[in-house]
Amino acid sequence: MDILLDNPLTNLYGPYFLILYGFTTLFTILFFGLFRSRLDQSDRLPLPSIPSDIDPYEIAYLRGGVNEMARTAVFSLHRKGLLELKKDGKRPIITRTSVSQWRGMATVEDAALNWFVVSREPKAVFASGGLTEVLEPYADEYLRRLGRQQLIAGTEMQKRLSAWRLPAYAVILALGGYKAFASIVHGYFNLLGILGIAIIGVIAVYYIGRLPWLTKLGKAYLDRLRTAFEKLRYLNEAEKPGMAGQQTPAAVGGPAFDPMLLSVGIFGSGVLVGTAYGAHDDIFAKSRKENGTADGGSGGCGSACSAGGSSCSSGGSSCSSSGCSSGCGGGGGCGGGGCGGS
Amino acid sequence: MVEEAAADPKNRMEGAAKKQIKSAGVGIGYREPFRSDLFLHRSQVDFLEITSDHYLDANPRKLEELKLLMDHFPLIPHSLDLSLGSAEGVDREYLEKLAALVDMVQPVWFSDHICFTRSGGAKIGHLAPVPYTREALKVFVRNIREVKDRIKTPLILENITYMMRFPSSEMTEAEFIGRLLDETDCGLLLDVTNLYINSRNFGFDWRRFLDALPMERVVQLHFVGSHAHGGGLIDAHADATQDEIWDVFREVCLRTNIKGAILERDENFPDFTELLGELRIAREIMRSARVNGKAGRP
Repeated sequence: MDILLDNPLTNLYGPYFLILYGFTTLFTILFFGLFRSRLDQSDRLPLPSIPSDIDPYEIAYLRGGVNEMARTAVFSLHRKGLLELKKDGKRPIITRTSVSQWRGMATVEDAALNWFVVSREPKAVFASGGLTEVLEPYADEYLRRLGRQQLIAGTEMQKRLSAWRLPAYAVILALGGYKAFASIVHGYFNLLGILGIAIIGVIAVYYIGRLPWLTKLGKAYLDRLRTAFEKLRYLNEAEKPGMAGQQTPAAVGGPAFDPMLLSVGIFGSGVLVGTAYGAHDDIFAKSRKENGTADGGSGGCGSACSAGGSSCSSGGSSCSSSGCSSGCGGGGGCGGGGCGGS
Repeated sequence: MVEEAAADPKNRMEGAAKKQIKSAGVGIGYREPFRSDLFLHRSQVDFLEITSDHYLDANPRKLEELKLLMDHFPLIPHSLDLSLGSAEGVDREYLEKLAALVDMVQPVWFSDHICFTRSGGAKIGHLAPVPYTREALKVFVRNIREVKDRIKTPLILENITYMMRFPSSEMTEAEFIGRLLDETDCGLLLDVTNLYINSRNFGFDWRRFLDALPMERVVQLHFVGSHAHGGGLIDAHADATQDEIWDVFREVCLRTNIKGAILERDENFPDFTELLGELRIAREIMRSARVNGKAGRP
């Protein structure tokens, strides 16, 4: 027992121990950070081609998980004239219109429309039992596919990182805790230095241990999509009030999907600001504030934040679970052209 | 020198090469404003013609754009400034950059113009015609030989519009082009709009012009509407293709098997679906000419 409390480490002069502890913590953080950066080797893979039958919902999911899928679905139903945004007093609500059918709707849209059997508040979309839960089965398919393509950080990558996070915590806390314990036993109670270094170390490991939603390849692919479809970011400016419900595409020889829907899928609902659908972005931004959820930040993001869900810490699988849906998966609030906001 | 070039086996590739080149279909001259529409309607555009000069000193953004296009469309580089008619020869630096681009893009052919754009070491800023003389022919053959020595991908040459004709010319334009193609074994990028404009501005029959051309050398077509200006027509790349130009297009397709056709539009952009409509017409004319041996009106 004596050797545990009376050895070169426990007897090390306080300031010297702090230097040793500081370097040990720093080394642990650097080692862990290096491991994380090497974990994502996806940038060695070739960039996937953009499919000619591109799925706006898959891109929305890639950008920010199931929350972005839900926002995109609500927008699409609104644009098709199947949903309308109203005010109940000061509260915004989303309600079905008298239009009951739309030929050629995506299965995601069918499922979303069925959820709006009663009028809903925007924040309910992301709450427990909300639209995001309804869309989970579709999101899971995207999760598997995008994970296989290494475009999003899958559960395997997260597990491997987590396996190294615990040892990193252990090194920092065990060394500091041991010295603190020995100091207390010897009657020294000035532990602020140890405490400070331990707190900084733990916080650093915690943040480094959060994988971004998108892998390096996923970020490059999303950038490629934004380059390819850059004009769609401005397409919406041509949309005049009163056009809600009018689809432009296939009937007049256009693509098989609505370019505006693709625009929202790629850039987020921020592109709708200033259009006939500007209210769409507005109501979700407001509900985010009411919920106090973490995936928003419309003021601070936009085109500069290209990584989509970069602030969505837990990445793939945990983010797609319903329990996380209101606080994550929202693309970190960034959609390139705008912030989602739940 | 002309004879030497024609006799050199390594330069004798175009005649046989045309038969081997797989049909590229119908495409459009790539311009940045088209980018999103191209990806929205990818299945309706068979290939793109890029302006080589835009990518010779590409910044990272242009390079990224080039990679994006390469990954999704067959590309044909079309350069503006090789200046094959310059007596002083081809600019080596430009040629090296073009070679690097062609090497990167790996096209089935690349193209430039039957003109000169540099004189006395200075760029003159437009495609200038040459007098149709034996001396000019020798210059072209010498320069094209140098290009073909450096770039092994087949080179095809485009006819241009001109606002004047040289009294010193020793042969007609069609004869000049025919001899040039024979002696360099290059293919022809026949701009049917340029042909129509020249025929109207100088009052000749474009059918007779075609009679004098080695039609088997025509690899690719350019088309777009002509633009009335100052009592004549100019090649502004700003108008929809008119019926008269479709007539030239159709006649060429009837006379030979075209490997590809490109719509060149640089200004006054309409809705992209209108451009796709023009591609559909061109495709239908080519298909009809190939299948039935005659081109019906779409």
